[in-house]
Amino acid sequence: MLDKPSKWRPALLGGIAIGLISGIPVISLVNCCCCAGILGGGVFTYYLYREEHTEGMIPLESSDGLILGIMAGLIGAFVQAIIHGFLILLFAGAQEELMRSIMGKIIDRLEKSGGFPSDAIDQMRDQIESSMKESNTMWGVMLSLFTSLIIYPIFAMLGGLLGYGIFRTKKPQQTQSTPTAPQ
Amino acid sequence: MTLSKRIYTGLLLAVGLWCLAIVAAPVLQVYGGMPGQTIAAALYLGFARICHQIDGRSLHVFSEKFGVCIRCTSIYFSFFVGLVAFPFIRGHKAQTIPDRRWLIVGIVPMVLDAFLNDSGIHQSGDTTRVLTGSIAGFVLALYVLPLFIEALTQLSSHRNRQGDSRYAGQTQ
Repeated sequence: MLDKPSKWRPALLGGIAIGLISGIPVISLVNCCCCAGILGGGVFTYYLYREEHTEGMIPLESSDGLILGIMAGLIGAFVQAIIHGFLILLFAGAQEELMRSIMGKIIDRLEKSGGFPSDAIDQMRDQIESSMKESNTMWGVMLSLFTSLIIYPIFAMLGGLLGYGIFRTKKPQQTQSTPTAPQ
Repeated sequence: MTLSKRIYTGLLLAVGLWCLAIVAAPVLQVYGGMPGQTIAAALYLGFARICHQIDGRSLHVFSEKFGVCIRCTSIYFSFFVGLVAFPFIRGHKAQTIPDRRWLIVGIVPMVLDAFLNDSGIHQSGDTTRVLTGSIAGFVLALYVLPLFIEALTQLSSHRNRQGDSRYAGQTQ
């Protein structure tokens, strides 16, 4: 039987996807919903890996999903920090202004849709304003990298496991020898 | 204690700590003094990476909001409840992964609630957020736990096999 494909390529692509989703302003709001972007990135990573797997290879296991998710999460944290730092270096004040106008438009739309109460809209404005001030420094980038290095691998790992669960092919029931715990 | 039980206990503790941190943030903010407030600030900062933390959409204790919003709180706490309930529902040895349809059934109501609210079609309240979030968290726990135990058991057996072959290579 052939060996499984290398995990690096899908993990790198998945990590870049996670980093892009989390690093690009406005798109990163997806992560406000229980890290949906990072979870999705983990699922995507496993999907890419599964695409590289052919029939003659050793069957895929849930541990592959777990490892792929952790790898993609770690890579994603660094990619996100690079994008964040890059945006600060390139645009600095201009980026802040651009972000403020984009966020203003989004919040105005949310206000008009009536889905959010007015006090929640005001709080959202305040929070975006303060988070923009805090994050637009190199110290902010380092701090965000530190928290990302903890949080992203956890959620991407869950995504990788979910990916395995979603894309797994059903096998006929077979007796499996359960490994014994190391003494 | 078998390996799967150890993994289960470890995950239960980790998720328990995560849930504790959500509640600890406001408590430390009020009663923790200077060191407590520093820890609370760090917790709020960490949770800000995964949640919008809007005051009007969060539960409060001592007039301070939880670390995450009400929907996220429901997801994480019901995930914990799902882990606790797992041995009673499926048994420790139930390593079969539930059908993926259950995952869809569990997650779709929450996604719909959030999407329809943000598009202004339906007004979701705290009740719908708690209800749909709790369903999603509970189903996710039942779905993720067997996968997590299976994955770590596989990794452990791979490591043991590698250790054995290295040992055999040295003795030859």
